[in-house]
Amino acid sequence: MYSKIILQKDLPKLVDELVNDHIVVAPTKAKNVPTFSEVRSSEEVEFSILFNEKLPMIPLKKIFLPSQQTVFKYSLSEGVTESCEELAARVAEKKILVFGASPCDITGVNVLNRIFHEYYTDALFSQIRDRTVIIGMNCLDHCYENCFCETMHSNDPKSGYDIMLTPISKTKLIAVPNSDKGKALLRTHGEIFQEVTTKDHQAYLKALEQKRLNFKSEFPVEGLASEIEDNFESSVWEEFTKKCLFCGSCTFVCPTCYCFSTKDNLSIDLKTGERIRDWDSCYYPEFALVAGGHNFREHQSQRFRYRYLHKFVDIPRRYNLEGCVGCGRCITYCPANIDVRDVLKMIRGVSN
Amino acid sequence: MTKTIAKYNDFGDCTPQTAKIVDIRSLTDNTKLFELQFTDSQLNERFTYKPGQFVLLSVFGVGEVPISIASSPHKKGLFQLGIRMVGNVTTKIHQLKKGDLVGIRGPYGNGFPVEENKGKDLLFVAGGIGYLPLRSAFREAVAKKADFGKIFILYGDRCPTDVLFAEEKDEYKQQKEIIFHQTVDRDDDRCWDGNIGVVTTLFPFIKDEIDPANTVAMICGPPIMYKFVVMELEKLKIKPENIYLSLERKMQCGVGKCCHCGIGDKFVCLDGPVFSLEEIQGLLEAL
Ligand code: SF4
Ligand code: SF4
Ligand code: FES
Repeated sequence: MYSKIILQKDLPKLVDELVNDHIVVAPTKAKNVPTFSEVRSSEEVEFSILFNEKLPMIPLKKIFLPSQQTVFKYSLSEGVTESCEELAARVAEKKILVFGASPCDITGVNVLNRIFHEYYTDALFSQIRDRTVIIGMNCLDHCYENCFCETMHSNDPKSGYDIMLTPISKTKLIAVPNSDKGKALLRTHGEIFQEVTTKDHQAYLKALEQKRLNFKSEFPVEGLASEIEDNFESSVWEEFTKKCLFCGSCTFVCPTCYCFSTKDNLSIDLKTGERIRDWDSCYYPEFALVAGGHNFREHQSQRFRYRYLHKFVDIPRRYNLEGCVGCGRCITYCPANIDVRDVLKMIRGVSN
Repeated sequence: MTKTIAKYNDFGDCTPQTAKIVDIRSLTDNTKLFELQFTDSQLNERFTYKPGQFVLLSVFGVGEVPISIASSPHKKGLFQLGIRMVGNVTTKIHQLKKGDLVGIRGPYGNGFPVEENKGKDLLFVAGGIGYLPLRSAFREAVAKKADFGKIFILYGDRCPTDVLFAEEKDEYKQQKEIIFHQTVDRDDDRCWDGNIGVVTTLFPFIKDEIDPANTVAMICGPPIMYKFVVMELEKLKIKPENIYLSLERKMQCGVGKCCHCGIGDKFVCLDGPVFSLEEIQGLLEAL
């Protein structure tokens, strides 16, 4: 059997082995904010986050699409001096290992992975993704009141991870590999793991059954896209627009928001520089503003609405994927108390 | 009609190729025509494009903007970009000199369906700087006149000093297959002897000559122009599938990643910039 058992108390040991040949990224509580960051030993890992105390504020996307990234370098006299592909190869020199990704975050990365490979492959994204091993930590119940992953079908990704850890008792987890890389990893670190007994296997099945019972869908997503479209002119958008501060927090904490802008940073020698790409937000007025002054989303309500259109209409249609994974981060971190579920329910209410 | 997006080259997605400015020609006070050549000479041979496609032009140290290619695709070895000073990047490139380097990504987008409409009458409606990409499209048709019916060109500018390639007017007027009409919105200095008014005021001149069943229209101009031009074309009974609009949007990546150019489930950079009216009629926020 490829699956193995690991004792919860041995997880730190595993992390300490993994850091030897990987850049390990795990949930930490640096500066008291739950987040994903590089760890050099198990002591830096906040294991309580793994066991669903809270989702890290910034989702896993930051590994593959960092908030700020160099795209290429140039000099004014020679033009491009280091291409995106060369930079990407350098960034991804060492293997990265993500430890403890939640299922919804894995689904979120899968969404981005699809988008960043569609038609044109984004070298930076894809090289980092290809070099990354993901160990997931399964959820058996909604992690908090803002989570609606069941509604968005995101808590049981079929791919996009190499091993999934599922707690089967207070002390034990089962490590189920989901790729060759995952199997290899379990082999390499075989001493930390134990074989799965019949009893363990039954406990695993029971845990999965419990998962199925615990998760509840809050509303049907079927028909959502066309209902939103039908209510394009609804006054509900206007109502929420009045509350929204257009701070963009909801977009930055969202695992499936990936918009970026580019800018040039010239060095102080004024001779060389780099093109940077930064996370951007469709909630900012400049987002659709072109040189010459025309703004294609001039009104706040158009910008407020666009995020919903993009997530619940455009992404599903273009990529056949849900554009939201229901992690609830945008609800948790919205200073104006706007709940994406309320917006959707009210928009649909109008059409009923 | 499902459209497959043709990928025109393998020049890479994120990094521009270095190109040298080999010539600069002033078209108006605020518009220059830049002739460019890649520093890697092999690229010049491989760089092929269609009228209406665009590149992302990098002015190193300032940034990147989408610019339609102004030259005719038949010209091999170099290409032209007509650039009006409107923002940071376009202002900076106006200060560059012959021999300076810029970055080019692309060509991107689909371009105007000129070849695809052989045998048809073509109606081009251009506003302002939108004349440049359309010009590269209609010059392709003019070069192969025998393959097309009549070629109508309606061209509007804000004022007489903005008029591009004014000297070509006579060339068009001499050819009977070409029906060329021009206008300016205002003529404060009283130096214009042609039509005054927005581009839609030119439609009465051609309306009796249009055969709606056999006419394909292509439009490029400032965002506010489209709605009004489409109304005129609908009055002429030209079918939505025969009306092509080159849409402008903010662009950062050019390859369907950054989302700045999104209109519904379409990206202007990938699926456009040229759309048929039929394609975008159901798209919210398109026009
Ligand atoms: S829209 Fe909100 S709930 Fe949905 S994935 Fe983004 S942050 Fe999570
Ligand atoms: S976090 Fe809340 S207030 Fe800020 S932009 Fe998003 S919805 Fe508006
Ligand atoms: S310009 Fe980035 S998606 Fe079109």
